[in-house]
Amino acid sequence: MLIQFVIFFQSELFDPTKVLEFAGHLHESGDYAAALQEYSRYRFLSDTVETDVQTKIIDCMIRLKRFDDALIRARVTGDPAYWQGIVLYHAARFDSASAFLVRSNADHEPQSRKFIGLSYAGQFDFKKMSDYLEYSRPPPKLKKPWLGGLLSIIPGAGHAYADRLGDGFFSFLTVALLGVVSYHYYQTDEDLKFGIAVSATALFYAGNIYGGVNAARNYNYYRNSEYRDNILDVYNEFDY
Amino acid sequence: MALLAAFLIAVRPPLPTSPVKIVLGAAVSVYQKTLSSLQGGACNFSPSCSHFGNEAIAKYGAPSGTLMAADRLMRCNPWAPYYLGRYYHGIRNNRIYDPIDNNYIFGPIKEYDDTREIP
Repeated sequence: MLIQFVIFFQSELFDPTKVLEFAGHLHESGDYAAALQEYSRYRFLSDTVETDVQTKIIDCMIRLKRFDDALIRARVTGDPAYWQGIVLYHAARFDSASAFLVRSNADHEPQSRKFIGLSYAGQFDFKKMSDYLEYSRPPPKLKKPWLGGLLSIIPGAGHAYADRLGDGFFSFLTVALLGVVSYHYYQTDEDLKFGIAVSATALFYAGNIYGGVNAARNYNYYRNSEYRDNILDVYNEFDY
Repeated sequence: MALLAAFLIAVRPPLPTSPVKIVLGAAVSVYQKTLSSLQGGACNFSPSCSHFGNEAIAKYGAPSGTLMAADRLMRCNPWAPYYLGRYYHGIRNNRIYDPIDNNYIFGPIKEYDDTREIP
């Protein structure tokens, strides 16, 4: 009885159809590591491996950020250029991804175009992206880092230009306070203290100009990121 | 004796490359060992301003590193948490994560995993 019981369960455990079903369940529930194991088991148990299973394996590897393994797997699919492009896109190697995707098979063309567009979006090149993807919202208006630096001649103005009023105010306060202290020591002829204070003023003034450039640069990065994330809300990057 | 000398050379920390770096590094170390502990970890950011300055000077040299440190000191203000989610996207060690590399204006800005803790 016990032997029959064990045999029954073993047959269930090694039935490829059941294994595939369970792998699919794990994949749907988001347990990609376990799903990958089950898909690998299915590949071992089954005589033929469907394309769908191959793509599911690649998908699991992408989600687990095992890009090198995914690339190796992508090379043996029916459309290696397409799948390598997909993997490289997820690995944030956008230039290489586009180069592969343009060489993909005709039956993958709409999806290839989508991923080429998303690759451009990943590089924040929204003008080129618009050749491949339809997205109605206009791209973000960016700040000019050099202008941020130039405006910082007035302490804090560069930060304010990059929409960081608090930082701008604090920069102004720091530089102004140190300037007043320097002036005080200059008036009282305290040379050493004046030297220290004026050096600190110069340092923070230069830091404020650097910060003006940095703030505009960060502003651009985060506005571009938000725009790209909005695009990804419309175009699912896991829909191959 | 020779073995001991070889061992000591092998395990020594990397030496700063210029006198300016040595002076600035020493100043930051003195601050970290004295005043910093008295403040009780008041910095908004991770890495803290002194670590940021030290590492920025070590990595990008005294001129850039000093400017980056001055900029960071001015950004470490009561408004800093307000920019979380707008300019700072990560939390590490319960502080706003502000990586050094992302503040080097001649380099690219990278995205980091927000949840990883640094021991």
